[in-house]
Amino acid sequence: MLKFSGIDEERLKASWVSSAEAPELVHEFDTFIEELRELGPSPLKVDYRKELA
Amino acid sequence: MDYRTVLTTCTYCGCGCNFFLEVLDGKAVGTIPCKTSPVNEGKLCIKGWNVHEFIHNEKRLKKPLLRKNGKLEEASWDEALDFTAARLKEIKEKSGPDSIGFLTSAKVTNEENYVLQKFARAAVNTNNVDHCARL
Amino acid sequence: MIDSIKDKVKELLETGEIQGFLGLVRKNGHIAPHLFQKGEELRDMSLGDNIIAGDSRYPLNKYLMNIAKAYPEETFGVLVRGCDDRGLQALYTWNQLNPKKVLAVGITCPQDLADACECLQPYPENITAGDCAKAGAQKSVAAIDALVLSERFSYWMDEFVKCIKCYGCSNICPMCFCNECSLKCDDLVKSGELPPEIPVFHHTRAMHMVGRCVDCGLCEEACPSGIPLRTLYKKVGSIMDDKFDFKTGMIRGQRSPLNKIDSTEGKK
Repeated sequence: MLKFSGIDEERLKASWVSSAEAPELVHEFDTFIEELRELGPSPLKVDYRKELA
Repeated sequence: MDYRTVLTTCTYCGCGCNFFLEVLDGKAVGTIPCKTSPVNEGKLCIKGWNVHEFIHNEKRLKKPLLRKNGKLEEASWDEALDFTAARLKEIKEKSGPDSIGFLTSAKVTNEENYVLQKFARAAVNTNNVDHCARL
Repeated sequence: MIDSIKDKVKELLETGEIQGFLGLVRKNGHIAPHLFQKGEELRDMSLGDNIIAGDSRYPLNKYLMNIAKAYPEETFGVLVRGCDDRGLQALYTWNQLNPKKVLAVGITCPQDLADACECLQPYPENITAGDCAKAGAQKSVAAIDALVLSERFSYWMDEFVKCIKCYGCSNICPMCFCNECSLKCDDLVKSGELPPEIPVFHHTRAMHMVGRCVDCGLCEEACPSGIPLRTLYKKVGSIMDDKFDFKTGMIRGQRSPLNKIDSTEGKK
């Protein structure tokens, strides 16, 4: 649905990590943060409603 | 059991959208926008969608209320009307007719609005008549 | 077609099989939902065609739920098109209606209506009158899919920004029956803000349409701003079909994948 509405689906990630797997969790976060940085600011950062006002 | 759909016009604004009130055993339980009406073509605003809610609302006035000793108490129609007439007369004599203002509503009929402005102009002799939509 | 329906309803009322029939009637120059309880009322029955086929359809299942809740022991008849029938099947699985107390009288939709609705099945399971039309081509969803990501974003945001938060889409929806609607929860949707926070508002509704929407199109017809809600929910439906092999209300007794607690239920 995100893709259908014009939001890059790469911005949403679902990972299954156990609370006992701390290093794996940190790794997940770090890689995702890098991926997001490369994608740039989200189109939702701007309040579209104020843009038109 | 009695279930009926009653065609009516919205009381809120001057648009006059048509809808059916869903009435189940004498009580209005829902609103159904009228698709065949050229005014709204089956669409309603949020006020129109919720018109059925105020009909049976507990908060509606059932008896005239008069403030006695700082508290609102139930009174008879005669008592309420006598009080209002006496006080309006008193204020008109003391401070002049233009010290009284009249505010009417989009939710009452055109005929009721006419009566109020006639009362304001002919009985109280003031032009201070306005309407809730101007607020 | 309407004469066969009138005859069928007359018969059901006369035998006492149903207490009333929820259909449509021509009165006061309009087409209105109506509970037929006497044979003479049938004379002014309508099937929801005012100027063009299906232009005056109403969510009869919704009113049936209101009546059935007040009179759970009585059996009622209801006029159904393909979408209404799917709605009934789904409502049974959600325990909103008792299938033993509902008698559906089915009519088919003509081809031009099926095409306009892009309906996947423009006829109910049990047809009292009418011939089956072919499924309509799915053009509206394909049109959005053909756009690039940024075009899609501005398309949808330009549509959503017109929203006046009338809740017409959920008020008219025959599948919306939640007593506490998350769209009316002040913590999620701030009161006094127009338009509401977009695209969150409409996406929230779209998510709630998962396994629920029967593609009747009444939401789009009820939207005063003309937002193409149907296209959004059609996409939801196609994803459900694609990933879960689930089409709401198409198979009798099939519960939505989101309506299952036991993981083995529904597996053959």
